Amino acid sequence: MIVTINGKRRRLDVAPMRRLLDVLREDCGLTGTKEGCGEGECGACTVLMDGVAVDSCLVPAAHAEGRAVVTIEGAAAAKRSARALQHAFVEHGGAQCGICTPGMIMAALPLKARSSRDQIKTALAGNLCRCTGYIAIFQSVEAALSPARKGARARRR
Amino acid sequence: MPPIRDVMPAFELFQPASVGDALGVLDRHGADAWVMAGGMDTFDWLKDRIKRPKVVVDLGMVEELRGIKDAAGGLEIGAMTTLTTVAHNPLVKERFPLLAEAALIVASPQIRNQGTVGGNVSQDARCWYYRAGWPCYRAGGNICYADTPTAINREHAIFNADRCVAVNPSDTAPALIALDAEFVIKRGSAERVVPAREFFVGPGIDITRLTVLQPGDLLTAIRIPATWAGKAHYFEKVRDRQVWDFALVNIAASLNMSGTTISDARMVVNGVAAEPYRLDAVEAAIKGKPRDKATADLAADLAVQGAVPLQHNAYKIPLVKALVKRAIRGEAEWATS
Amino acid sequence: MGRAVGTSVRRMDGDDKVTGAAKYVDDLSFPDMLFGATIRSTISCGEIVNTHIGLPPEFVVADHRDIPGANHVALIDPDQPCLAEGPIRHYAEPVLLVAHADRRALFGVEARIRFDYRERTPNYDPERSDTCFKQIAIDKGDLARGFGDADTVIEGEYRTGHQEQLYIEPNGVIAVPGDGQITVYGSLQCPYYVHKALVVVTGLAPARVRVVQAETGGGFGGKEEYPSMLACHAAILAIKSGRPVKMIYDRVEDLLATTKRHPSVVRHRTGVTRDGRMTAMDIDVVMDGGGYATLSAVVLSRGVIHAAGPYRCDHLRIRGRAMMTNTPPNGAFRGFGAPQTQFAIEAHIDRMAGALGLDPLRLREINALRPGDTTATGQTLGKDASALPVLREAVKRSGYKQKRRAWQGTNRGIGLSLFFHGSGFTGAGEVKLASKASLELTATGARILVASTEIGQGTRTMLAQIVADAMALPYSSIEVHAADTDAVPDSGPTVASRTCMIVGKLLERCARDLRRKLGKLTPAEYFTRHGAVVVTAQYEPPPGQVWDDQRYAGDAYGSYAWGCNVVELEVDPVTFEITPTHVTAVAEIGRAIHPVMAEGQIQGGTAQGIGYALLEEVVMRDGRMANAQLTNYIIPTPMDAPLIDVAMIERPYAHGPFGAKGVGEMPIDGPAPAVVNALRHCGFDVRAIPATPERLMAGKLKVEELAVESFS
Repeated sequence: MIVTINGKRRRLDVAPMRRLLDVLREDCGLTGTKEGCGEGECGACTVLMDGVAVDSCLVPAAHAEGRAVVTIEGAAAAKRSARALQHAFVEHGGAQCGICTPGMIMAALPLKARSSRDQIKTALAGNLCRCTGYIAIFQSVEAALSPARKGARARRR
Repeated sequence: MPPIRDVMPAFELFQPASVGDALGVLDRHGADAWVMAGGMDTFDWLKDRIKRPKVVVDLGMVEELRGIKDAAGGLEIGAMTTLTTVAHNPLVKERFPLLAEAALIVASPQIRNQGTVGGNVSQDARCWYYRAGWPCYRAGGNICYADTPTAINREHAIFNADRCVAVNPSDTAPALIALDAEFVIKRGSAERVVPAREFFVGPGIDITRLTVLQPGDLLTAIRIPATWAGKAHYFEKVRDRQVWDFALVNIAASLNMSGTTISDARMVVNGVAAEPYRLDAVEAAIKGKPRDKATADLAADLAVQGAVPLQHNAYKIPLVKALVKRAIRGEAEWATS
Repeated sequence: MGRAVGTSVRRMDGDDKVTGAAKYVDDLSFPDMLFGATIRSTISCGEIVNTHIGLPPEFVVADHRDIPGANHVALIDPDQPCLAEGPIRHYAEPVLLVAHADRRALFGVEARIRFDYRERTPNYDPERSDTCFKQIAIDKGDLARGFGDADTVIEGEYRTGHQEQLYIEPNGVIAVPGDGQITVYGSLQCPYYVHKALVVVTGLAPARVRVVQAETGGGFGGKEEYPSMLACHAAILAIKSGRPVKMIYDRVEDLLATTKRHPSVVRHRTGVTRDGRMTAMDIDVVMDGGGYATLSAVVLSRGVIHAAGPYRCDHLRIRGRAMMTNTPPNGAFRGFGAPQTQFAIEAHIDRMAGALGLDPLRLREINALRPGDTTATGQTLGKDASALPVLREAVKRSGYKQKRRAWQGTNRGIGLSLFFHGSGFTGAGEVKLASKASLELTATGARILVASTEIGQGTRTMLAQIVADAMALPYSSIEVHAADTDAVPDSGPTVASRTCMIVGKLLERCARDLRRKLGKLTPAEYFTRHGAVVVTAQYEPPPGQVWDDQRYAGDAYGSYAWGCNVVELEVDPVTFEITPTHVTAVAEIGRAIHPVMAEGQIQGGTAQGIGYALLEEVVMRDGRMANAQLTNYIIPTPMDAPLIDVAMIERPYAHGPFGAKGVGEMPIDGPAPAVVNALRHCGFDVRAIPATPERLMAGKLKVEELAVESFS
């Protein structure tokens, strides 16, 4: 099958019912996409497929045929806001243990500039984090998406 | 307990490109075949190896099953249309916001992007004893693990339990019933059209499935007549968390107003029985009445007649009553409760 | 100099985590690697009498006879076999190990292995168990006299259930065999715990065993002891096959088989005067240890020491028991016994206030521990005892008094909890651990050598800040070595809120030592002249810290962090849905080394506590978790997390690095009782968590009860 992964067209010889998650991690070496639950209940495996966030643990490889898949490794090349998001997650405490972070950033990637807190919450609703209590994650996304706060230094006391 | 759950069991996979091909495969393989739409329910079942079909028919390539089109003022929605598409489609939002609201509140954003409306109405029960492979009635055994003294059954049925106390988990199902939708089912060269309400079955009819779909059947489309387009509606879903969770109880209502009185109504709650529970008595009783407190109180009492709570789900009775009142009074009920 | 400490420097592991470059254990691979799986018992009590294995020879199969050393998981008591030999004490107990080069070949393997059992009647009730893992008694003053001084005695029973740590990365390890040696890479908190367990099971000399922590996707205590079991399994397969073996649990196996927070039953009998002075406290604590001892003794210990809460009382008796049941062993989870017992005392305080017609805030003010007071174990508190400051700050920030009045009789509620948490190991624990930390001079600065692990809480960054300031070097010049037992000394486990206060202090000492050595030279100059130099510091207790383990009396901890939570929530009076809307979390932690990360610990721990209070329930059926999926074991989501307003107060502890105490665990002690107390304010009597709608419905107070309750 032919899939565009992080901007490159790739021919993959994989069983059609293998999970896209496994194809990415095992066959493509893209281990930035994580598995937290294997049942679509945590979002750690979130990737974009034709620009839409999906749980790659619930996508049969065959359903990626002819589609464009973007993983955390290709986020910066795919969308301008990626670097700002990545920077802000470090600066504002959005990443602690980091296992949910790639999925969080992928889920946040389709958000438009100056998204509201509610829009951010809705976009990230399908992603669990056990470390942060989410507040620092919302703040990180806000900082990245709001030009006024862009590059804002971490709060110092 | 299976030590490796992320691998699919061995089965023969078919990926038909048309409805005709799909029906052909289903016809040949009968009860051995499992139909997969978005895969949201299927993946769990297959990976957990509780269900082990010999043949899986993946509808992912059948483009003709996707899309929403006008049908004489109503709509026809392909069974493989994603929930995200249903929730954001301008025609759905304009004519049947009840369905758009129900679809928008299913599971999580990712799951709505992948999951389909056909899958959402056809999904199996979520009772955790059943899903974890306990040999219960629904799985072909002779006990209901959820209806024992030590069980936690807060998510289970308060109406019409018959051995099994699992509930129908769908959010779009009650909305579709409240819109008088019809489900188009094909089988071989035949087609039958089933009213939404009759699509769902309780344990008294068949304890092993939640819908009328039999081996060989394919749900291809959902038709919504113009009847309720633009009419008043109410949808609410109560759940433990505001994302992912299945409804503890949800309610879908369509109300046709003539002046200030209700001339006709549909009201359906889900999460309370093995099939979406249509409140016939309420519908009849509120006809010709205004959307006021007296009507709401009357309806609420009627709604829970016959309810039999289990050890941990008695709260569903006041919950159903409250939702019925809100459906009738809308914002006013919120303001005064 | 002090440029790094107290500022939120850029965290060291941040960039790799946000780009997907960070390597967690499942991201690692080795040539010729096999994949391993565990075959577990399907009964809760009995023994295996026969085993039938129908697997072709390309499968590597191992059982207890393949263990080169001793068959137990070394921790406290040697009671837990690494692989069951016959007797079975709980469901999902590991019996056999299977490995294959193709992960997919392991699919369905369990169906080809069958055990014949002789079953016995299991016991799931800790209060009916005849096996006690640990008993603890604390006595202070004269209980009879204390009750004699009381005007009234108030009793109550409080219950908490299991709680799953639910790190988003499940447990996993890779064992790589070598020439008479073994290396294990894993997702883990305590490299030297795993090392100790591997030495016992493999029979290898300690120098032949190496443990390396991979990037770890959360732990919260759940990767304190269980990785020892898993590492031993992978090592057994690796030794038998001579090939690297990867074992990664999926979520269901992780939920079914690994440790959870101990369920508890706590009973209080409190003597109190009419004006609200507590004169006697009689407390009974029962914890459900599960099938094996694991860490139950020390969880119980921390639980009973915190059972009287941050209150003074001259006459008290505390009795604690950790009992065996036929369920998977319970173990470490953030808070470690203290969340259970402080839930009980804090819920009890509000009930007492109701009975006395006092405001619960006033009752706390009257009894809160002050500097110079003694705790339940007789420890005299120093100037940093901060119960009253955190209480007052939380009351002020939240508008508690005004809201308490305004919301009386409505469906909005506001509740408060006051709590404390000892930093570091209990009693003589730190002396016994005798942790070591080292600092190595590099050409550009210094490299930290400790076994303390980064599991998200910011260990690397925080320790580097301490070293940077103590050496008067820039933060960017400090490196942190991987937690690799071949390269770093045993700085103790990464648990018990000890990493900053204990290990940070050791590194501060190392740094000052190294700075003295440098004199006026820069690291580069010194390095060029003298080459590499390593300094090491070993733990010494602060002067005057004394603990009597026989009497359970004395200085239980070097210091305590103090916290106060105010939870605001709304209850739908008809549907019993609870919506927490706002949490005020005030914490006194000595010094916040990295304010953003410290705040992150408090927010994260608070959110876990809200989950504990409202959502998280492990449903057991025949000794087995029935809801072992994230669909059914539910934790807070982005849509449910309330706003959490964090305020940190700093009252430096003389023996902590730059005054710092522990922060990691304490935040989970307070939310559950504050939630329950807010529910009481709304008219619901809840004494067990989680407070689900059906519990709320059952606990709705009657009008006459409300009259008493609403006196405040």
